[in-house]
Amino acid sequence: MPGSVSEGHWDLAGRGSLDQARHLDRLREAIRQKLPVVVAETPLIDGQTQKVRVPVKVLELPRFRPRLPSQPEGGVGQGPGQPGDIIARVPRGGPGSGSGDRQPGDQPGEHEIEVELDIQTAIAMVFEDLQLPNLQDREVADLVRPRRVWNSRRRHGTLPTLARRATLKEALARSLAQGMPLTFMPDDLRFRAAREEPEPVTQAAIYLLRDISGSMGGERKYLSRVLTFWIVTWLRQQYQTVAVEFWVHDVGAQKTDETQFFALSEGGGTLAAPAYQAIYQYMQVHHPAGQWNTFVFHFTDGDVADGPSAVEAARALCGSVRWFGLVELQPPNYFLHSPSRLSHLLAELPQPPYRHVLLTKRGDVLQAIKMLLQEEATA
Amino acid sequence: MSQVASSVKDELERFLDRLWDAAVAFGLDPVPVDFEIVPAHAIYELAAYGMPGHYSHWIYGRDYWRMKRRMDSGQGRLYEMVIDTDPAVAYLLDSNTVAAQKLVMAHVLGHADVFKNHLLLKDGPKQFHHTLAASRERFAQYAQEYGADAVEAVLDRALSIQDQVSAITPRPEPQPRPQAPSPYVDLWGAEAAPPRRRVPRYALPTPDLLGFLARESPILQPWERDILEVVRLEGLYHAPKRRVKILHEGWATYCHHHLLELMELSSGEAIEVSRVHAQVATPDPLRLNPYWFGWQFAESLVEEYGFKAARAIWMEETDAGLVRNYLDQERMRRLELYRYRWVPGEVRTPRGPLPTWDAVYEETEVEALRSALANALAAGPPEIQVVDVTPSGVLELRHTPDDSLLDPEWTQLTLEAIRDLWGGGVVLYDGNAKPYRVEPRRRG
Repeated sequence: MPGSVSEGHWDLAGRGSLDQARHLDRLREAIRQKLPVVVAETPLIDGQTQKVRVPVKVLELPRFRPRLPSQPEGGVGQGPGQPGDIIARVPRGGPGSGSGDRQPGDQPGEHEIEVELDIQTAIAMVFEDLQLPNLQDREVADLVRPRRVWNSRRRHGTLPTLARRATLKEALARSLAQGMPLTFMPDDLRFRAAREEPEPVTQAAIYLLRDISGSMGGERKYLSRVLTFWIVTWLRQQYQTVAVEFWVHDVGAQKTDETQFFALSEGGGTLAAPAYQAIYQYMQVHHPAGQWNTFVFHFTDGDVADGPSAVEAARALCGSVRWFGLVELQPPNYFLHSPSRLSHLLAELPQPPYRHVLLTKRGDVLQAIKMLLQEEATA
Repeated sequence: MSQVASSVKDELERFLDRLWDAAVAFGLDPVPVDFEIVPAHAIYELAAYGMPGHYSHWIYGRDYWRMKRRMDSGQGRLYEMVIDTDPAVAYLLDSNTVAAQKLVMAHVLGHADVFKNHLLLKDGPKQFHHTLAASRERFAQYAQEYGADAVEAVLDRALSIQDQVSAITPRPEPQPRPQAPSPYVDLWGAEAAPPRRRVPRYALPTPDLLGFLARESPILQPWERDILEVVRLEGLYHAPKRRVKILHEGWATYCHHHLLELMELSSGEAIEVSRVHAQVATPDPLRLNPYWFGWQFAESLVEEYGFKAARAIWMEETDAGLVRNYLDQERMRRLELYRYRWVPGEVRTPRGPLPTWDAVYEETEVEALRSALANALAAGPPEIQVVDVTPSGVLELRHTPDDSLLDPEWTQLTLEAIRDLWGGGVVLYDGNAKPYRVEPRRRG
C-alpha cells in the first residue's frame, strides 16, 4: 500500500499571485514612506533612466521577538579547521555604505528588497507628496503664439471633415422653407474648419549654474545632480516650453551642455559676480524678461571670494528673473558662520525672487525641493 | 510531450512499488504517500502557504513572490514539498531529472516514517488540510459579508501572535457552590442574589494568548472569533514541527542514502543521484545544515546502538534533546563541529582598508558546545502569558523569562495588535525592563 504517483493536480492554483497583488498594494503604501530615497536616486535630466529602484524593508507582521544582540553572536559550524582560523569574512558596514553597522549572518525580517518603480510613477508620487501649488503664470502680454482651433464651419472641404449635424440643420431649414420633404443639396454641406487663434505662451528658461571649484566634488556633485533633476522635471510640468541652460563657473563663467555640467571640475578659487553678470547679459539677449519666465538656480558650497560685487551682480539679476535660488551644498563646518559666506551676503536681496536652501545630506533632498519650488506667498 | 511525461509517471510508479518493499524490509514503517508531479510555481505556492487548502493572506503572497524570485534567479532549488497528512502528500518538481525524482521519493519515505512514528507527530491532526480548506470557505464568506479589509485586519492581528498558543489550557478550579438559602429567608427578605458570572475558560496565568483572546475578548464578533480559532489551530499544528527539523531532514537523508543503495540504478542515474545528494547534504561552515548534520548523527547512532534501537531513539527525541543526550566528544570530532565567534577585522584593498566581521574558529569544549547548541535549538518563539485582567479591563501579560529581553519596537507594535483584539488597554511585563503599555483605542 505504498501510495501513488499522479500529475498535474494541485490545490491553491493561482492563489500565490492573487495574494502577491495584495502584498504589492501594501508595498506601495510603504514606498510612500520612502519617498526621500526615491528622490535621492540619480536620474538624468534627459530621461534616460526609466526605472527607479526603491529599497523597502520586507513587509512583516509585528510579532514578539527577542532583542537583537548589540554584538553579533557566534554560533556552531561544521567542517575542517583549527582554532584561530578565520572561516568566513563579511563586510562590516562603514560610513557611506548606507547600511549602517549591519550584522553578519542573516537576521530574518531585516532584509531589504528592491521594488522597481516606473520613473513617471515615482515622479507623480513625489509631487503628490510635496503638494506644491501650481505656478501662477507671469503676465506676458506681448507674447502670443497662434494655435489652430477646430471651431469653425465652411462650405467646402474634404469628406472626413464633414460636419453632419450642421449639414442636417442647413438641409432641414432649406427644405422647410421650400415646403419640400427633406433633401440634401450640395449647398447644404458644411465642413469643420480650423482657425488660428492667438494664445498666450507659457515658456520658461531655467539657468542652472554650478560652482566647479575643487571643493564641489563627490557628494556635493551628487546632490546638485539630484536637485537639478527634480527642479527641471517640476518646471517642465508647469510650462509648455522649457529651455534649460547649463552654466558652470569658477573665477570665470562658461556655458556648457548637460554632460559637461556635471563632469567639469576645476581647482582654485571661486567668484560669483562674473557668473551672475555673464548670465544676466546672455539672458537679456536670449530670454528677455518680457517673454520668458526665467529661473536661476545656483549650486555652490557657498565659499566665494568676492564680496559686495557678488551682491550687486545678483541684485541686477533679481530684477529680471522669476526666481533666483541659491542652493548651498554641505558648506564646510568652519565656514558656517563666516560673514563672507555667499548666503550671508545675499541675504539682503529681495524675497521673492531670492530664495535660499541649505542642503547637507541626502535625506533632506525632499525638503529642499519643497522649499526651493514653493510658490512665494505674495504671488 | 504528454506521452513522455506519462512514461516518466509510469516509471516512477513502478519504482515506488519496489522502493516501498525495500523500505519496509529496511525497517521503516512509513505512512503511504501520494506523489504529485507539479510545475515549479505550484511548489513555491505550496511552500509559501505550507499546506494545500490554505486561506488567503498577503503575507503568503509575499513569501511566494520572494521564493519565486530567489529560485528563478538560480539561488537554490526546491526539489520537493511534503505534507504531514494520512496518506501523506508529496509534490515533486516536474523539472527534476528522473534520477532526482527517485532520490526525492526515497527521501520522502523517510519523512513519512517520521510522520507516522515520531512521538511528537504521530498523534497530531492528519487531516489538517481539510480543516484549513473548510475555513478558507468560511473566510471567503466573511469577506463577502463583512468586507475583505475587515477580514484582513483580523488576520493581520491574529497572525502576529500565532506563535503565542498552547494546547495545555487548564480550566479554573470550580468555585464552591453558594450555601443553601437560609430557611428563614422569608422572614427578613432575601439579599439580592449575586449576579451570575460566566465561568472563565482559562485558569490564569495561561500561555495560550491567542486562544484567550478568541474566547474571552469582550469585543469580538463570532466570525472574528472563528478566524482567531483557525489561526490558533494552525499555530498549534506548526509548534511541534519546529522542534524536530534536524530529526526530520536527517532521517530522510539517511533513508534516501541507504534505500537507493538497495535499489538498482543505472550508472547514469547513480551519478545524478550522487550529485543531488552532495548538493543537499554538505557541511556549512557557519550554521548547521540539518541534512548533513542529521544524516551523520543518524549514521553514528546506528553504528553505536544498531538500527532498531537508533530508530527508537530517533522517534522520541527532539532536535535539542538529541544534541543534549547524545552529542559526545567522539561525535563532535566525527561531525567536525566547532564554535566560532565574530570578531571585527579588516582586509586591505586597493581602495584602502575595508572593515569586516571575521568568523573565528574557537577552541571548543564538548560540554560548552553541547549546551550552546542545545539551547539554540530549544529556543522557540517568546512565551507570553496572560496573567490577569484588572477590574478596569486592562489585559495583563508577562513575558516568561528566558535569556533574552524582547525587541521593544516590535513588542509595542504587537501589543497594539493585541489591544485591537482585546478592545481595552494592555500591559506587558518583560523581565527587568519597564512594562510596555498600550492605551485603549478611542473609538469614533
